[in-house]
Amino acid sequence: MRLSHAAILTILISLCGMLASCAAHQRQVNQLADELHVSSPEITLAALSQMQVTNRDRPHYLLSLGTLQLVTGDFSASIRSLQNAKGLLGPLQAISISENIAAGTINETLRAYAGTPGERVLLQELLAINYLMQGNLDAARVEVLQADVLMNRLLQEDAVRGQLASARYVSGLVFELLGEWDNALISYRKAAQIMQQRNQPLPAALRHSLLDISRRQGVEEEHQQYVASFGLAPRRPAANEGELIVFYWDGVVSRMRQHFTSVYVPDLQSNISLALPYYSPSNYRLQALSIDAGGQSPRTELLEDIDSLARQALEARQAEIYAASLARMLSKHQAVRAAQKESPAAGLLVNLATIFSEVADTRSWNMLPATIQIARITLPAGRYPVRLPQRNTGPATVLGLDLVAGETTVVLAPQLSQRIFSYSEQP
Amino acid sequence: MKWSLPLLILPLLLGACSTQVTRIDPSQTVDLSGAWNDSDSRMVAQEMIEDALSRPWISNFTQSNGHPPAVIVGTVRNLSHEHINVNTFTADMERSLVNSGRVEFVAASGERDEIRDERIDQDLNARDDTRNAAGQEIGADFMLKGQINSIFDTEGKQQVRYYQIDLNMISMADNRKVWLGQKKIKKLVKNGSVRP
Repeated sequence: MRLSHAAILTILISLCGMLASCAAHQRQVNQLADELHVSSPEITLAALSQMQVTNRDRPHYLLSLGTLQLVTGDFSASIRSLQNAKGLLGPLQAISISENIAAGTINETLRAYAGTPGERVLLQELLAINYLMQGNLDAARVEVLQADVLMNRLLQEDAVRGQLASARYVSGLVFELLGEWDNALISYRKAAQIMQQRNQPLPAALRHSLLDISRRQGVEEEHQQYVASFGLAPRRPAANEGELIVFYWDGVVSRMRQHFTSVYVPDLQSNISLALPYYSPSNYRLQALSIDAGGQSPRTELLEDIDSLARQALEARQAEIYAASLARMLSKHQAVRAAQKESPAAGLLVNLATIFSEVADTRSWNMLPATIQIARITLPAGRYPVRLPQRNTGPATVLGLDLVAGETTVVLAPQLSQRIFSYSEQP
Repeated sequence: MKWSLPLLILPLLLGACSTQVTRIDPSQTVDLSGAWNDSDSRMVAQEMIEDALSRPWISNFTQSNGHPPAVIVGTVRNLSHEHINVNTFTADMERSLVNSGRVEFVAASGERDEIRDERIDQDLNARDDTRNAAGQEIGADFMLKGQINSIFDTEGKQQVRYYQIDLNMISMADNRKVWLGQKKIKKLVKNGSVRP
C-alpha cells in the first residue's frame, strides 16, 4: 500500500479538518464558560442552544445546557437536558476500545465525554433540585435514591471520589420534606461524615438538621453528642414562624486550559508535541448570601467546594492522561518515522499532522457554581430582603422573600442569574 | 507508513454509524438497560387484574348491594429508584376490570373538574333534552391506592434490581382493605465493561 504525496496530503488535510471540528466544541464551550463570568446566563444559554455537537460531546453539551436552564428557572427544560445527559453517560462508563486507540494515537478529545464521578453525582443532585423547585417531591426522591446507589458504588472504588456532602444534604432534605425522618437522618449523617473526612467545618444548617432529626427520631445518645459537640440546642419553628432553607450557588467553577509543548528533536528529525490539560491558580473569592432579619443577618456557609473538586478530579486522572500521552507520542513518532522512510516530504507532512492533532481534553462541566452554600433558619412569618452578591464588586442585589408561618421554604439562589427560586411545603 | 495511517483514521471511522428502526410486537419483551419498561408494566397489570378478579371482594359487594362496585383510582406512589409512569398499568387495570363487567370505575379527581365544567357549560348551552344535570354522579365504593418500592444492590458492574408493587382496594365506607395485590419483579443487570 504505497500512497502518493497527494493522497497523503488529502488524508492529512481531511484528518486535520475532522480534528479541528472535534476540538471546536470544547473551544466554544470553554469560551462561553469564560463569558459567563461577565455576561448573563440567558445570553450564554442562547449561544449554547445554537451549537451543533457530535455524539461524543453531547453529554458534555447537555450538562452545560441543563445547568443554564436551571439557573434561569426553566426547570422542565433543565430536567429534559439533564435526564438525556444521564441516559448518555451511563453506557459511557464502560471502557471503549476505539476511543482508547484514538486517545493513544491522535488525541484525548476523541473520547466521548463520560464525566467525572463527582459530576455524575452532581447531575443527580441538580435533577433533584429541579424537581424540588417544581414541587415534585416523589421525582426528587427518585433522583436522591439514584444518587445514593451511585455514591455507594463509587465508595467501593474510592473512599473520597464522587462523595458529595451537598448531594447527601439534598437527599436528607427531600426525605425530611416527605416525612421520612429515618432516611433523612442517615443522609445528614453521611453529609457530615464526608465533610469531616475533608476536614471541612459543618455549616450551621447541617448541624441544626442533625440536631433536629436525631431528637425527632429519639436517638438520644447521638442527639446528646450533637448537642455537646455543636453547642446548640434544637429549635423547632413556633406557630408564627416558618423555616427557610437556602441553597446559594456562588461564582462559576474554573475551566481547564491547555498546556501545549512542541520541541524539535534533532536526533529524531521531527517535532515531538504534547498537550496537557491544567487549571490556572484559582482567583475565586467566596461570597455569601445574607438575609436581613431584623437585628440579625444570617449568611450562607460553604457546603460544597465544586472548584476544588474539579481540580482534584483532574489530579486523579493525571496518571491516566500521562500514560495516554506517552503512548500517543510513541505512536505518532512511529508514524513520522515510517513516513520519513517513504520520503522527507511525507515525513514532514505527517509530522505536521501529529503537531496539529495534539490537543488536550479540556472538557469539564464548567458552568457549575464554584461553591454550593447553605443556610437554614427559622424566622417569624413575613417578607425578608435577601442580599445576593454580584459577580463583580458592585452592591448586592436585594430581592424580597416571603416566609409563611408553618411552612418550610426551600430557596435556590444562583448568583449567575441574580434570581431566587423557591418551593414551599407545609410539614 | 503501511499501518500508521489506517491506524490513525480507524478510530474516526469506528465512530460512524446510522440509525436503524425495526417495528416489533408491543407484547414482545425487549430489555435494553435493565430499567423498568413496558414489559414490567404489562406484567404488573396482568397479574393484578387476574388477582383482583379472582378474589371475593367483588362478589361480596355485589351480593350485598345489588350492583357492581364503583371504584376510583387514587394515588399510586412511585417510591422506587426510577421514574416510573404508574398510569400505564393503572389504565390497563381500569380497562380490564371495566370490560369484565364486574366493576365500574368513576372518574378520578384529576378528571372530574373537566367533566364538571362541561356539565356547567351544558347547563347554559345544551338543549333541555340533551342536558346532563349536576348532582347525579356515582360515588365510589372503593379506592384503588398503592405504591411501588424498590431495592437496588450494586457490586461493580452488576446490579440486582428488585421492585415490589403493592395495590390496595380500600372501602370508602369504612376504610377496610378488601383486596391487597402484590407483584414482585427481580432483575440481574450486568453492565458491560467494554464498548466498541
